Amino acid sequence: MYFYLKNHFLSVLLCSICFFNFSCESEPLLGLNDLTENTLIQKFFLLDQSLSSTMQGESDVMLNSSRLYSGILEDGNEAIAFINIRSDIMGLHDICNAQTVEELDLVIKTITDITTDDLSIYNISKEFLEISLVADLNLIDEENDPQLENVEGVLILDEYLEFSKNEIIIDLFNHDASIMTDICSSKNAGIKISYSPTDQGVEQFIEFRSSDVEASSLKPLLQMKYVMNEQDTTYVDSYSIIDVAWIQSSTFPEGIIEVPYVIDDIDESQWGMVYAFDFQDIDQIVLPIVHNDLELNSNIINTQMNTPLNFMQIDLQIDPSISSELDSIQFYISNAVAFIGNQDLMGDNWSAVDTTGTENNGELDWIDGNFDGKWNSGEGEEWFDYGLDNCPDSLETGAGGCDVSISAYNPDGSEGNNSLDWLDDGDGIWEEGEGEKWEDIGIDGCEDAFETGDDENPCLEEADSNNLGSDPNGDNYLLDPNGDDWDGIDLGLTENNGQWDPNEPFFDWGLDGLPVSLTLLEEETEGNGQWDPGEPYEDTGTDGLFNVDEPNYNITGTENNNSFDGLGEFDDCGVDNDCNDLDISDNYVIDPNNDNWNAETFTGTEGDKEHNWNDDGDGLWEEGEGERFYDWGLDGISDSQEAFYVSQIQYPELGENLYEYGMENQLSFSVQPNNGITLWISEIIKNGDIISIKFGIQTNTPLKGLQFKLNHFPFEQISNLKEYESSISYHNDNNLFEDITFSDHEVHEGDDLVVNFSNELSIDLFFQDDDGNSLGNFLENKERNISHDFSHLVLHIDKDNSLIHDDGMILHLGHNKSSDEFSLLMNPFLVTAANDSIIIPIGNILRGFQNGNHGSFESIVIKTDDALYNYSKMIFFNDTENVNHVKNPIIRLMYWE
Amino acid sequence: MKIILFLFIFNICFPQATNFPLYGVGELIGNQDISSIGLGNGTFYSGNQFEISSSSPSSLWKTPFTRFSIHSGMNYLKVPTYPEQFQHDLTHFSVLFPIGGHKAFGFGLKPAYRTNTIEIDQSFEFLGVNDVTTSLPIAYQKSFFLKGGISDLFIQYSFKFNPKLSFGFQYSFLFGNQTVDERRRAYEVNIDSTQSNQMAIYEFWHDDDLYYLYEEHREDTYLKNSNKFSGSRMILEGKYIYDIHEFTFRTSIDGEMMINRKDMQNTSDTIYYNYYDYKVSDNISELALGYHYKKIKNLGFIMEARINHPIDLPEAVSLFNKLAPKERSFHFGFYKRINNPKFSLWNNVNLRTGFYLKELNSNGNDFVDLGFTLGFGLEYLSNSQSIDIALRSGKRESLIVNDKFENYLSLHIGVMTGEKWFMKRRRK
Repeated sequence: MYFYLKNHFLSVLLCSICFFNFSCESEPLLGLNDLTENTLIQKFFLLDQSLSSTMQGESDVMLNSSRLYSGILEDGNEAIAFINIRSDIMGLHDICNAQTVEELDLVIKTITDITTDDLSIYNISKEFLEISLVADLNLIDEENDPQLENVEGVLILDEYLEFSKNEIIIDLFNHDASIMTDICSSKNAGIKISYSPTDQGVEQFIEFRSSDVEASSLKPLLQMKYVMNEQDTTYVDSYSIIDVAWIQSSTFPEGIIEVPYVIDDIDESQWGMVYAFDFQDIDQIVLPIVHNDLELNSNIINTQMNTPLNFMQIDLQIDPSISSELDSIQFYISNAVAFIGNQDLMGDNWSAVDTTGTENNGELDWIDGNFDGKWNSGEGEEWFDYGLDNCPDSLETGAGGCDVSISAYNPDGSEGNNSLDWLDDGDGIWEEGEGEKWEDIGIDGCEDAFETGDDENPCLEEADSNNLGSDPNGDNYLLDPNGDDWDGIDLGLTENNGQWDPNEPFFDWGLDGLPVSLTLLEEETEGNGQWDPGEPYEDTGTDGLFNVDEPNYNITGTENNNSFDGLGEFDDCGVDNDCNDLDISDNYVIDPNNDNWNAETFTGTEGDKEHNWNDDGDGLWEEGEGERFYDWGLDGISDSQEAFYVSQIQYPELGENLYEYGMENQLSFSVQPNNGITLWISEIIKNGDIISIKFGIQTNTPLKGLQFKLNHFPFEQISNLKEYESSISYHNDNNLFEDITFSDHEVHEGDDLVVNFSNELSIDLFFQDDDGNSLGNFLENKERNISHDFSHLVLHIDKDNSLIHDDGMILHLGHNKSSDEFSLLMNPFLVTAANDSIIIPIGNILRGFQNGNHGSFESIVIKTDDALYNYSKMIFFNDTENVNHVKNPIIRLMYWE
Repeated sequence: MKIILFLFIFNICFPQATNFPLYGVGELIGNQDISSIGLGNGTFYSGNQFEISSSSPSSLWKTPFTRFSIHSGMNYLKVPTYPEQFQHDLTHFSVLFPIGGHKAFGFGLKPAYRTNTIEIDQSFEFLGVNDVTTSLPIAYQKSFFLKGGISDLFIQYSFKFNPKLSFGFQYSFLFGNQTVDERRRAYEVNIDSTQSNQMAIYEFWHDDDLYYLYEEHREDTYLKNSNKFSGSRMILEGKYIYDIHEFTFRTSIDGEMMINRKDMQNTSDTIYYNYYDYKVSDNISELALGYHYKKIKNLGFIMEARINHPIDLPEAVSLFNKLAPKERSFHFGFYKRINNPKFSLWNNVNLRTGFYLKELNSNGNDFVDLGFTLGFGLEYLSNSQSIDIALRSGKRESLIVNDKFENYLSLHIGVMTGEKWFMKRRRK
């Protein structure tokens, strides 16, 4: 002990530390509200009328708009669009040095739907649309020229205009071929688009995409096709394939075999591919060829082993366009594959010697690996669960027979399909011509007059006059039984109208809306027996009841709920709504022979997941013996298909495989066959423009067939003219176009606060408190922590004088930096014509000024952009005579002081 | 050793205030010598064999050993209607070396000002619709989480000038961080007398009906104010011994203190930082006088009077903008040493008791802190080692909670071990 204490005092210290080092969690202190005087305060900043104003920018703004306008604008002014093809840019393009120009189209994208989707109906008065070609137009110099609208050009005829839904293509070259001379010789080619409809039922103006739009696919384009005097090399196939056939000889074929097949469509990637098989039916071959789908007869070579055979010939026709120049063709063979023709390559045939074989054993060898009761690939012998009629539903005749095409089967029938076949026009109500009829009478199947109130027998045969005005079955859908919901029209409907109405329950807690129990300060208006602004109330309407409390409220009712509720509300008579018709064409039939498995009655053999086969004893499936199966063994492959198994294919020897043919009348080739399979071109014979290519083969094993591709090196054709096609909106990084909309430019005057793009009007808002202290001064105190969610800039829109397009306006809220450069303070936002006011949470923006991130606060600037209708005009309410007007712009702050 | 250092550094940073020190930088921690605490929460005297108090530089020269001292304390605080608070941790660590005849040099670390780690959840407050920008009333609630303070890393030098007069100096590096995390929640609320599936944020009775406040919208604001302190303090102390009378004089001078403040505001996940620098000029922070009467060798009486001026912090840096109070205190203590007449493992047992009266002046208002102390010490192994325990119980008028008393009870334990390092030894 002594030793320990004397020499290990550090250990003692450590123990002490550990001993005393407990946790020191204590419960939070509750209350202590007097610790700080920091509280949430409300403060208003009104518009400083002396400094706030509408600002108007430079008038060149329209040059930078992404939209062009032509027609009668919403404010009644007329707009004309001008698009100029700049000769200073086009003059540098190759087309100006072209040998010939074949096409020069101007493509203009429109925002306005010129036509319907199917181009059948024009949404504009096309006859009042005038597109003219104006020579030597210079928009930059003439943008402010009031005479611009009087500029005359040559009207482009309708035949040179092509309209689609959102595109106009102007065939400039065919309208006036001299345009090429102009734009290649420093003369701009201007397009003037004017539109003056008289019919109010069509689009009154057309909005185009200008060359300033950001998406390149939306910019105006010049589509050009021209030919340059340049050397051009093209490669042309020297021939076409006209026939393929076996070469008959004493040694080949050994019996009668069907003709081979060659892919002779030059556009196919496998053009020249030859399939040398004894097809059962060559007419049923479809591309691309799948080996497993091929039905073959016998081998093409059975006994002629190790003997050279000239077995096949392909006839080619030389391309007449190059026949005079063609002096040689080099052929070669590729993709050659031979398929072994021995019987039972997989060794799965049943025989008396080998009774373990499953192919041709007279039994279905099926292992239902996934236990789904159906044959799936890899589960042995394929069989078809079509029932004893061995006929799928789709081919059943209805009389127990089976057809080769659909006859009685009709899964699309609408009568008796237990489904409503109704095409609503969007109003939620069945109308004549909308298909199968249904009535909104509820799932009881009868309307109120026929209702009994008895759940077991809910409907009467005849109407009961005593039911008038009642709902005996209680199935009427009713959300507002007392009919007092506010609709914005009838002032007598007061439920949910957003204001207190007499008889509506309220809490008599005074103007602050809080009871004395919370605030500990009783207000004068608290408990005065009448509703005062600020007091919470229940917006029940004058009946004092919310809908859910009103008698007969029924949100789950199915009658008159404007919704189809299933059986009971329709008769399932099909789209002809006639259940007694003799027309069976609309009957829903999915099992004409009525042999489908029924899990309730345990009847039917189709789809019963069992193989139903009544063998006559020969072990072979035959017609009339029930469900068919293929006795191909567990590999599921017939002997003839086994040749296509990967392990059974061989690649023939091709020798040097390059056959130089110099257009001789006859040219023979010899190849030294190897011990396996060798394939070669044995002879080429020319007869006029026809070249016949004979193929030789030698094999050491019987062949089911083979396939290979006949190839050649295409003919190289050299021309001194080269054709070009291009669609451009830029050349050498320079915009090919300049464009403007010509319309009246208004000079803003007055005290209105107006935001508008076309006249570049924006507003500059300064704010001050009741004492005249600016908001900027207030923000200099960084200790004030401004609430974001509860601090708002509120702007009321003067809807009577504003002109806001249905698409709305996108507003940008920012401020002008010391360099007068506009800087965004928040993401641009959309304001629609339906908005009465704009309430913008502004706390974080003001905090940004407070902390110096945005510099010092002077004012807030609001402007709009060109992304939507350029002529929308938003005027904000501002009563300069009454600065305290409730609708004047105001910043309402909540902050922690 | 690394483990010890880690535990030591980790623990010393924690607080040990006796009350709710929600002002200034927290409570002035003062003396942490366990034996002196037992003597009426004094500073200068210890009542042990060598009469050394680690908190009195002028007494340190008496040590014949290299002394390691480590003190720990636990504090229990109870204020009526508030949850009990419990704090405990290491409070003092020092090393003292004798350097030649009647001289000593030491260093150590201890808290200087501390607020305990305190969490405060204030009650809901309400604003009516006529006082807010919203269409519904607003209920708001603030919570605070405080921690940190100023630590004192000191070096000490003590020497005996003549048989009657000795002096001690202490130079302290004052450093530390203090943070106040504040969470403000403002709710737009609906008041309803029916309970819904939505959880009510508040319930209240009004006219015999129970009402529920349901949140319609909420905005959270997080504030984090961090203050980084950096300063110094010089303590000058003299001791005069005349027969059985011993007088001690002391003054402390605070050097210039730099305060770097960082405020973080996070509203709706938008965060801003503000930085401020403050400088506090030097001033006299303490004046103290002590008297020790040794009636007989092992029995004595002590008396101390002290005035402490707080650091002259700007309001913006002070906790809740409240300045720390000026303190005046009187301490009285008695001790009795019981010596072991036998040669044994232990040498003597020290019994101590005392009381103190402290007056805190804040904004012209005086608050009284009255306390009673008991102490027990055991010295062993030729007085080279000791264990001291002190119990302090007091009652203090709360500066924070009006008309309430803060009742505190603290237990302090100290371990001192002496080693004959750095001493000349005679070789045989």
